[in-house]
Amino acid sequence: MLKYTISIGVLLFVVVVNAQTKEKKNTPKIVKDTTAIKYEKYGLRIGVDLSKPIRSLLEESYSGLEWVGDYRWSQNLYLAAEIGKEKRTATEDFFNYTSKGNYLKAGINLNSYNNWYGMQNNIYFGFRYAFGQFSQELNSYTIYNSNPYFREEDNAITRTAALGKWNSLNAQWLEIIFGLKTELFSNVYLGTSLRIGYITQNENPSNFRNLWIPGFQKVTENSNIGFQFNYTISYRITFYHRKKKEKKSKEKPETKE
Amino acid sequence: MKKYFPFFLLWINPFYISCEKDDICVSGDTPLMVVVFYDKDNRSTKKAVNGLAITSKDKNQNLTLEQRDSIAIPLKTSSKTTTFILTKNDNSTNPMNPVKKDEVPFNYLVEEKFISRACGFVAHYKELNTSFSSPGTWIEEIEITTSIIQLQNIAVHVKIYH
Repeated sequence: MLKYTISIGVLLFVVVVNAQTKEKKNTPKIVKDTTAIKYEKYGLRIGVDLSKPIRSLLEESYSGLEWVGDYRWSQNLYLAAEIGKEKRTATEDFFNYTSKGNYLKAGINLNSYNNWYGMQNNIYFGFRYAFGQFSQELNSYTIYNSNPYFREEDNAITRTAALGKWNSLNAQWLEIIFGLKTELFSNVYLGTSLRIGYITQNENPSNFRNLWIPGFQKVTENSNIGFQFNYTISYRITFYHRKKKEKKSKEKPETKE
Repeated sequence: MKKYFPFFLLWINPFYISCEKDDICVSGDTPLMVVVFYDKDNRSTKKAVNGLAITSKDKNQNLTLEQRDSIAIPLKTSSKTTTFILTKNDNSTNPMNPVKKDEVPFNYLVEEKFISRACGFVAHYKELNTSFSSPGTWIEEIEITTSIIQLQNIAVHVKIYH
């Protein structure tokens, strides 16, 4: 028995590997039907961002909703857009403020995943241009003074002079996206993406700043760059079918050499 | 699957890139009022005050106790006026009655300026003036050189001649 253990192991190993490359090997018994035309489904995928409603339930100071969609333009090119609204109240070390507004992002997704026939899973790069309109409201604050001599009496009063609400502020930004979308079950897709945003236009209020922008989220000091994750669930509505573009002749008729 | 591994690395990186140290206030502060002491007989010469003590009128705690010719002192941001009691303790000029006090009220307007997420708001002062009636017990005259207090490092705000 021991004498043959390794031989049996090697044999099994060979068999396992073989099964996965079955398509490429010349198997005389399998006849490829080269006259069947392969169709890809084209249509619209519409969904929602899941992370925002979940966060709204968990965090009392946050509420948000985002609709997402993409439309298949060609084999690997999708037109995509997101529209949403967010409201967030935050307490920083020395003040408390609320950001509230809407945003729209539009762009494309380029799929880089080689799908099996009929599937529309994506591993993609995307680009967006985004517009946001929002308000910032300063709710409360204290004065920062590193000298402690009058700190007790200075912090005891309620300050009102710099309080304010600034409406109709605008910002625009670019986004680069890396994402996945996979089909869970019939026509329902689960997606996740990482977004890197770069602010191109930012209208700051007077004597305050857009520290958090709905759609872009946290704005850091001295930087126009921000990051976001999201998780989406979408449903595909098929409009029409199109012939699949054959890139490589994998499915050529087998001519035995 | 190997070819998509770099994508997964991107998921990890942002957690570190986006952890910025912008939670410590370094880019601003509420300025202090800079007071320089000069000789009343020789007005361009600085003169240190022996045994100087400065206390806010309504506090027990001393702001400073030392011999100096210039000092930076805070002003209240919760009020339009701060009154200091400036004390000189001088054995050399008057051994019998060394301690002399003068009460000096400073009046001003407070302007609140936003600095950053980490700092929030600081106070700037303007229209600085004093209602001190000269001469006092040891202070001859007080001159306000700059009525706006925004920057601390480069300005002399008050000159006190004694």
